[in-house]
Amino acid sequence: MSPRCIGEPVSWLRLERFHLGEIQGTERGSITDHLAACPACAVCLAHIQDDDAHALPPLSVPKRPRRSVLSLFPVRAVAALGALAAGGALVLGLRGNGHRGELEHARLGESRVKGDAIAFSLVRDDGDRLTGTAGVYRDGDRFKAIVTCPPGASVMFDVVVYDVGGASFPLEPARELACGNEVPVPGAFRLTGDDDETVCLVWAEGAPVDRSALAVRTAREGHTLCKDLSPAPKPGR
Amino acid sequence: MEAYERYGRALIRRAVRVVGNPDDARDLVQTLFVDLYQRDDVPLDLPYLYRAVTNRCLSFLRDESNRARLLERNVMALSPAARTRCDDRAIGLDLLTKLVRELDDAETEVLTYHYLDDMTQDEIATLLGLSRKTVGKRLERLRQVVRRVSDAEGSKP
Repeated sequence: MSPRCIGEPVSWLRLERFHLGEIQGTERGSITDHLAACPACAVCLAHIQDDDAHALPPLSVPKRPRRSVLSLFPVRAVAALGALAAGGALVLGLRGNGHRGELEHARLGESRVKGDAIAFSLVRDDGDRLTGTAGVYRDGDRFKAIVTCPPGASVMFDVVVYDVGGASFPLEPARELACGNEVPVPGAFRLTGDDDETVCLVWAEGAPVDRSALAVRTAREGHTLCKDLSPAPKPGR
Repeated sequence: MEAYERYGRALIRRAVRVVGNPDDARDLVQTLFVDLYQRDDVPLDLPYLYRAVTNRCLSFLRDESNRARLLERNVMALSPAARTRCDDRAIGLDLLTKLVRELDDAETEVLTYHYLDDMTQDEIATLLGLSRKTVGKRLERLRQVVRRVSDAEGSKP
């Protein structure tokens, strides 16, 4: 049975501020006294202290575009969006080796949309960033997709995971993204297992990506940015 | 990045207490900071950020698909907190998701601070910029709604 607080509990916000040293003076003294007498609140503070030992997940902050860059974007965006309109969708996916020959990968760095308008990278929870076209993953690694796209563009992104079993979609259905430099696609996904995988990003202009089409055919028609990921060697092998 | 480094862990803990799922909590906090940094408006102010994260968590719970997903996963329940008040009910994720459908935004916020965060009426009033009397009135109505919803749940076979 959980211990009950003795008297008025110290709120979580006050405990956090107490822990951070933002509460001083008599208020700090009264909280200290309460904690000494109240096991329930002391447990809460201990939870905060223990949790602080964990690493803070890295934050990928988009760079704020400079005015001069913004002024160039309308021209570049028009060209890019024209290509998008013709192309349809942008898919981020993972594919098994068996599919690699079928997919025309739009390789990062060599296949950006016209005008270098769209690019993506994957960021692992430990802060490691995969910017190239290949990398490794460990079973259970958690990734976020980071996208660069023209500010003001109406583009919807989706993540597709292809493996030997076919296509899967690890994120919630795509929503329109506020484009800019290095914008995180909402949500994150984990890679599990020990098969080679390919990760690709897919987009559509002004409409959600058609997942059913992606699930049954290659992403050949779409604008696709892909990365091939192999399982990290296991220790002792 | 100073605000994120200083307050990120506290805010993720806060989000976990509301949505129950650490992955969702991290995403909510990171999305908040990304938005703030894009606007170049990141106050080094924990109460402000705490409230901002709370509102994002509640919006997240209002989304039908998120709510269904969380309940389906049977994620770690919100509370019962280590400290329960003698006069109030601790509320879990299941009850909270039902309450967010019954209450308006302002009421849900007060509910969260009182029932999940153990804030006093004075703390809530300060955080929300309201009078203590207004907070008291809202809590009075909230107690009735919580009682009604939780009793209705309890009477189900």
